[in-house]
Amino acid sequence: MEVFLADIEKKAYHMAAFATGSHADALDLLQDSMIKLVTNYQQRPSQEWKPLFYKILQNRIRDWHRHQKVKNVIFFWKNTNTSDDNQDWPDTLESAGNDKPDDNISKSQQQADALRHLKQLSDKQQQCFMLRSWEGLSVAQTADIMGCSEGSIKTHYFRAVNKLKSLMEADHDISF
Amino acid sequence: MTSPSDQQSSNNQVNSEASQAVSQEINRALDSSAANMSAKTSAELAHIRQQALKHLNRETTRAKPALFDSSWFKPFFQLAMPVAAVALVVVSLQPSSDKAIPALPLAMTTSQMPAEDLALLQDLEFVTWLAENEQEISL
Repeated sequence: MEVFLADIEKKAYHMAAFATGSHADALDLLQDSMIKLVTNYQQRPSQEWKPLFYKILQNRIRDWHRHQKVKNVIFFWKNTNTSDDNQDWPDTLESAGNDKPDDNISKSQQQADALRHLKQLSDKQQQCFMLRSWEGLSVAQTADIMGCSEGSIKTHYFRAVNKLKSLMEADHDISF
Repeated sequence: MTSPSDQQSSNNQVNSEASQAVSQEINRALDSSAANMSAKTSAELAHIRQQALKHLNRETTRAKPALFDSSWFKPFFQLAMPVAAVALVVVSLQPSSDKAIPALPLAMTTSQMPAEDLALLQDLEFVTWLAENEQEISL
């Protein structure tokens, strides 16, 4: 179990961070998901852990969004747009690029742009893209994790890729 | 000259390759971001992993209830307990035999009972009723 959690934690953190836009909230969601997996599903075969873990994480993310919505309704007079001041993630590309040679800086910048494009997708498109493309889960597994039909997953993924393509083409003035 | 279907399939292929290129580009960026995570974030992730694994140890070392790990679930008891339960149900549902009721002594007649005692009076009524029933049966 420890090896599995160590293997999955970085990707899961990124998914939570993209969904919430907050480092602290992402860590909270990740910890809750890990504890639930360990407490309730440690007896399951290890090949089931990955889809189970991502399903728990997606449910936590969905709950987080619901809470945020309720919080925004109740405290409507407060400035709820916290996405800008919580940008302590990903804190790696900038720091990684600082001590690299010039030719790598442009590559880091390109990767930072790619992440920025990913952030412009809708929540479902982001999560669908990361589960399908980055984590390599099947359409059926992704549908089960996100709680929607396989057709919806295909649509989300198709739209996500198309939007990313158009954003990257517009940004770098290139065509794929 | 290419047919429209050929042109469409080649367009699909180009789109598919472009989509793949976009996906690979984003995946590379995500991999790089995950690989170059700051030491602070990595330490925090390790901390929450350890916190979660404490629950693993807690679950495995938690004592099982005495009922489930004692001799109650040995094969002998697995057979004996259902048999005993069935026997108990059968005995409890068996109609009680009339022979178990002792016969009423004929000496207890209404003339010999004291009339002033209320409790004895109730007994007297009961015995009278029994005597009447006995007479009806004998007729």
